Formats: sequence, structure tokens, C-alpha cells
Amino acid sequence: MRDKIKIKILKNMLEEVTKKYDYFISLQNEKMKETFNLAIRDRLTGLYNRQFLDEHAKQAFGRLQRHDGNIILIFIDLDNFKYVNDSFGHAKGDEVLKKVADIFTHTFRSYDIIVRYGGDEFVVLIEDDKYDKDDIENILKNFVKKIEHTLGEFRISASYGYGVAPLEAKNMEKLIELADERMYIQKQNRKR
Amino acid sequence: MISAVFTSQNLSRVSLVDLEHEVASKFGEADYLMFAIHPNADMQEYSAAIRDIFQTEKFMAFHVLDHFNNNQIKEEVISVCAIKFEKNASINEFYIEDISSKESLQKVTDYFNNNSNKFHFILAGVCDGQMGSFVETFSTKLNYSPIDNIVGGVSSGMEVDGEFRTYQFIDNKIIKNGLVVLSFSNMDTHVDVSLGFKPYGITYEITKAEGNRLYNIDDGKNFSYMIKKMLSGIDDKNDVRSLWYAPLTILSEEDGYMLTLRTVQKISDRYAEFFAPLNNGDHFKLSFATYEDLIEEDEKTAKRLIGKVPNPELSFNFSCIARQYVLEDKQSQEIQTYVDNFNTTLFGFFTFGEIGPDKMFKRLKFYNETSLAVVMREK
Repeated sequence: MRDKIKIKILKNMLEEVTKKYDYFISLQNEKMKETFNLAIRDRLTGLYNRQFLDEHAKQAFGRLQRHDGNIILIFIDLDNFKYVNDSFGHAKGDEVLKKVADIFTHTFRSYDIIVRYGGDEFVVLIEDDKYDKDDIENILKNFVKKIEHTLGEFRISASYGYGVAPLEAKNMEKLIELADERMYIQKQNRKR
Repeated sequence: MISAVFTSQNLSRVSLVDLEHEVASKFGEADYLMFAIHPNADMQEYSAAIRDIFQTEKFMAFHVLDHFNNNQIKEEVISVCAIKFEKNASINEFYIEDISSKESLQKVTDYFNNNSNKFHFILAGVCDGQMGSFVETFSTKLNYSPIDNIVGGVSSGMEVDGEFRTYQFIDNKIIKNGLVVLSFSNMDTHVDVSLGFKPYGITYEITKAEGNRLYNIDDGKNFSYMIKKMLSGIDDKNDVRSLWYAPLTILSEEDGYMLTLRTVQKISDRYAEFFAPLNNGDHFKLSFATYEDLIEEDEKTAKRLIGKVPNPELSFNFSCIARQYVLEDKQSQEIQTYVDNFNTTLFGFFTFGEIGPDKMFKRLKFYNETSLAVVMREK
């Protein structure tokens, strides 16, 4: 009796349940993505954080062992940032950092790893088949120009240094050390 | 205890006389009589007739559309369950004439709390759809545990001469908007609940409900829209009885077990109205059953009951009218399942809502589409 009704109700129920599952799963995925992003991103600038850099570097060095290629690690430190915080307050300092992040994302490729490494320190990790020192220098000089132009009112600039693996370093620690050292030298030279 | 159910030939005073003769000759003098009367009968007239013909004050009567005498479903007649105690058992009566009165909730709560050692059998009126809320509210005020001593149902009825008859009669009073409680002392009893519907899919949350009306679920989705879609492709989309195959299963907040069922009564554009209340924050799943599922669960329920009270001397069953729709032409199979297992007198009623404990005996619930069975034996 009433078999057609029962089958129809069951089919409609199945359709509803499927829709609900799809909705639930997409919601879960969104939440996971959100949670993942919160875990790997710097809250203020939206750039990657240090934890993500560590994880990503492990994988990048793993790839480097299997395939030819280069890891170019750039260490960038803002010059005069302390002056912004001291003179205009931390809110303005945060605004400056957001603008710097914006310049970073418009300078490098979407798949380059841009990291807020510390307060006003940034790291960019680039994986590329080829390494052209002139190209890198041009990109970085333009980047500094953009920073100085955009944040001129705060007399902000940037110092940088970079290293290349496997040419100059075999692991991440060495590569960071090298880039940091070179950045420091540049900063000292600029002060003179 | 000795018990038996007798049924009249039809709904008339003459058949009531015949019924009295049958009880007198086959049963003898009873300690208590319970009359199930079709709502076509005027309660005032028939209760007076019962008193005159049976010459007793120890009785109660209630409206019910269909009831059953053992495995026989009876329509448009009067049945009486005669009870005679052989040891120290007894029945006490309690009633509330109007559940909407201020003091009724406190009175009922106090009565059950003060008589937690007795087994209570409730027969209630529809009371404009408020009985479900009333039951679930006083349930929260019961101060003893486990709550395994209360069972009941809402009299099924219909509109006759402009009144919706789901009345009870006791103590020379017609109860039109209340409930009657028969409290049994010195009895071994057990009550069990047969749902039979299996929950499917993901859990929904009720975000807007008022009384028996459900407006929104989850993040504000219109429930009425969703439930209407469940009727798509069915010829008569206005016949909500098709949805009785798929009631909502309300889940326990603590451990997710099936708490109760809710059956759709009508659907408007803004809400779906159920036969019992729903609460904001309640969680539910859609469920489904065929008559085979229901009878299989009845069988399990009957076996559990007989394990608790072997060789019962009387049994009762409250089975929802909506459940009868799902049972289709197999209604008598459900009853036969109980009769075969209990092997004793069975007096049962098709009800407009059932009252009984939840699965864990933590609370009293108001059920839809459920079959509640009770077995009793005098201590």
C-alpha cells in the first residue's frame, strides 16, 4: 500500500540529506581553511608566519635534493621603523607594516613565500630553476624604491641581504644566517 | 489481580445494559472499571448511564476513537476493562479539570512527587494542543529518579456538535481541558516505548520554534520550505499524512539518543505545525519507517517488558493514530505482537499523543507516532 508515496518521500529525503551533507562539508572545508590560514599567517599583515616558513623550507630543501634548482632566501629589515612607532604610535606602526606587506605582495609572485619574520623583519623564499643575481638585485632595488616612495613621510626604507642554496648554503639555518649577515652589512653601510 | 475487557455491540444505552450483564456474569464484581467510549457518545449522558446501570462510583471513562480489546480493534462502541485485586493492590484517583489554571502545574507536580512509589496511568484531553507542553514542563519539576512509573495518552476524538470531544469522566465530573490519573499501589509494573523509526542523515538545530510551531532551523532556514519539498512529486501535496512516514526524531542533548518523535499536523508558508511542542535549541534528524520496522520494534519492546514483569495480569497499550497510518492495513499485527508476548488481558487505545518516560528514564516525554506498552502484576 502507498508504495509510490513511500518511495517519493524516501527520494525527497535522500535529496535533502545529500544537500545538507554537501552544505555541511563545504562549511567544514571553509572552517578548516580559515583555521589553517590563522595558523600559518601573521594576523596583522596576512603574510606567512615563521612556523610556516620552517615547514615550507623543509619541503623546499627536500625538493632540492631530488631535483635541480635554487632556493633564494632574502632577508629584509625596515630602516627607521622604530621612529614611526615612537613618534606616531603603534597604530600608525601597524598601518605602515600593512602597507609594506602590500608592496611585498605586489613585488613578488603569488607562489613566492613572503614571511613576516619578526617585528619589522621579513623573509622571502623563492624557488626557481635559474638564479640570476642581476634580476634579484633589480627586483630588490625597485622594492626599496617603492617603500621609500610610499612611506616617504615616515622616512622609512629597507635593507636586504640574500643567499642562494645549494650554491652558498646546504640547509635553511645556514641560508638564513648568510642572508641576515648580508642584510646587516648593507644596513651598516647605509648608515655611514 | 484478575482483569478482563468487554465490549458493547454498539453505542447505545441498551448495549450498555448488555455490557453490564456480561461483566456481571463473566467477571463478577469489579474493584474498578475503565470505560473507553467513542466520542460520538455524549459523556454526560453516558457517564450517568454507567453509574445507573453498573451501580458503582468506582470507575472512570474517557473518549477514544478506536480502542482494542485484546487483539480486536473496536470502533464506535464502548469497552470496559474490569479489574479485581486479589491482594493489597488499590487504585487512587487524581484529576486536574483545567491545565491552563495557574495552580494546575504545581498540583500535578506535587501529586507525582508525593506518590513516587505508585504507578500512574494518565488519560488526558487535547487541551487545544497544550497537553504536550504541560507534560514536558511538569516533567522537569519531578524530583525523583528513575521516572519509570508514569504512562498515558491523549484521548483521541473528533468534532461533534461544535465541540472537539476528547473528554474524560471521573468523580461525577466531565474533564474537558485537563487530565485524569489512576494511581496503582502494590503492583509490579513496567513501561516501555516502541518508536521504530530510524533516524537518517545529518543533525539539524531548531533556531525558532513557538509551542507546536517550527519556523526556522540551522542558520535561519525556513523549515516550512524544506518540509514542503519532501512532498514534491506526490499527487496530493496537501495531504500531510504522507509525511507521517518521516517524522522528526528529536535527539537528546546529552548523548544523542532518540528522545521522542514529532509529527507534522499542517504546513503554512511560515511554519510547520506539529502535534506536540518543539524547543529552540533542540536537535533533530529526519527519520523513516515502514510498517515492518514498527512491528519489529514492537516485538523487541514486548520482549523487554515480559523480561521485566513475567506473567503479567494486565497490560495496556497507547498507540498513536498517526502510527496507525504508517502501519497501513497491518494495524492488528502490532496489537497481536503484544497479545502473543504478554499472554494476558490487553486494553489499548489509539491516541493523539503518548506520555511516557524517555529511553533512559530520566524525564517524562510527550510522544508522537509511538506505541507505549505497560505490563502489570499485583505484588
